[in-house]
Amino acid sequence: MIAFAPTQIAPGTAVADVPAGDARLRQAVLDYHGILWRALRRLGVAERDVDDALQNVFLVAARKLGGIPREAERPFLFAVAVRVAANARRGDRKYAAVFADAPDAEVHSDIPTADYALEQLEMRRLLDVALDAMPTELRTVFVLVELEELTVAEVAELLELPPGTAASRLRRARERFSEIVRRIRERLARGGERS
Amino acid sequence: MNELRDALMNDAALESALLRSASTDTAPAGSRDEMLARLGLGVVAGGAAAAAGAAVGKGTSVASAAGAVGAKVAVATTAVVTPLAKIGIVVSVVALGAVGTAAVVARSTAPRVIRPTAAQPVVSTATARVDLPANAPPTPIPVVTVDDLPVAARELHPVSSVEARVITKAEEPAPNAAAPDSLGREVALVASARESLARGDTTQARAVLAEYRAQFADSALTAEAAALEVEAARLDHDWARVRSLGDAYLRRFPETPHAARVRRWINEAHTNE
Repeated sequence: MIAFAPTQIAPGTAVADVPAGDARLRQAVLDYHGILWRALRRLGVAERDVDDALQNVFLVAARKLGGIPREAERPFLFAVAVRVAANARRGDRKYAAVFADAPDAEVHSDIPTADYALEQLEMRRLLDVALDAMPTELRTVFVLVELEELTVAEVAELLELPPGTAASRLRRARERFSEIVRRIRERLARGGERS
Repeated sequence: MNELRDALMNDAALESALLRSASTDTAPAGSRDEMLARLGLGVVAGGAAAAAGAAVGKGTSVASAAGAVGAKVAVATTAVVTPLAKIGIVVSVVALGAVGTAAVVARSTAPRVIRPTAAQPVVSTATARVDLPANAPPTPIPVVTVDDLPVAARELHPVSSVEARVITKAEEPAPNAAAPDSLGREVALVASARESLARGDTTQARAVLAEYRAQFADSALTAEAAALEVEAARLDHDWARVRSLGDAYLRRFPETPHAARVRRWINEAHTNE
């Protein structure tokens, strides 16, 4: 098993100090910037903090990528992103705990119908509301499998979980997500009326 | 256009719609170039000043921004030091060392953080202070503003009295698919297409991608541009085109990070056709 755990970044770390090599790191940025940016968002990093979090991912990658086989590059970067997200995740956790406690305003809005992009934006906002209402360990597995399309085996390895545990978390995450979405739909159908 | 309203008809539809919406989330235009600049891995033509400005705008130290574009003198006073700030300070301090020995070799295309030597200390605090030798002549330190910087940022490689180096061809960074200016153009076109798609303007995105194809047949961002073409077709709900472009994409780029998304879109096309 490949050791995915990132190391602490020492003060004064410079990219030139790392073994990965500029060319490989640069290619990793070109290949994975967009994917990891999105994954960090869905893992709960606030948009304003994503660039800094992503920079930390690549700094860790710069130190460790040289020892990672190319075929393991993607799960390795996701593993780093999961850990970075855990540190960077916003502290206010407005929607934490249970969805029922979330203010109506978080799920109720005028639904834009005239513009596809706005509609997608609204749906992503609702998606984040749902993900924010999930426990972190379920959310992480759910995001990696359902949104980033990693296999359960890959997720188990990068999270250092037994495969059965990863599968169990995914099952519970799907159930939880379905339940939250059901409540979102009910609330939207009532026009934001508090349940 | 009424996907959300349609999705509200039942739980499963809303679930699917919310999950699908994640794939339409894209990083802001230019953020990848800024990341390359932050990491000292290259700044595309025309992007140096913008990347520096963006870094300053986000609270990063002046030193980091200046360092990212190869400026020689910068002093950081910010209280919050991110890893980026530290990198910038390293570059700045090393560059100051280079000024002291009046030996700066510019090479290649991009700024790069340089491994410090014993003669070039790493400063890990927010304020960089450099003590020149007592017998050093009072040479004025040149001040370089962003406006003075070249359009294509250059890498600074100091040659100290301890470690004189000859820059050889073998030390050049791995060659990029295109020259700096052309890479910058390439990045700008793809970023523009991505931005257009984010706005839902598929017509503009397709026009930009056609221009990209005409200029760059097989280049660094060809796979990404091709994926964006599939995405444009998807946003237009042109499912036949999604399938034909998507199949062609997977034949040509089966292993890229975009392949999974393209596969999903093809499946979506089969479902919706």
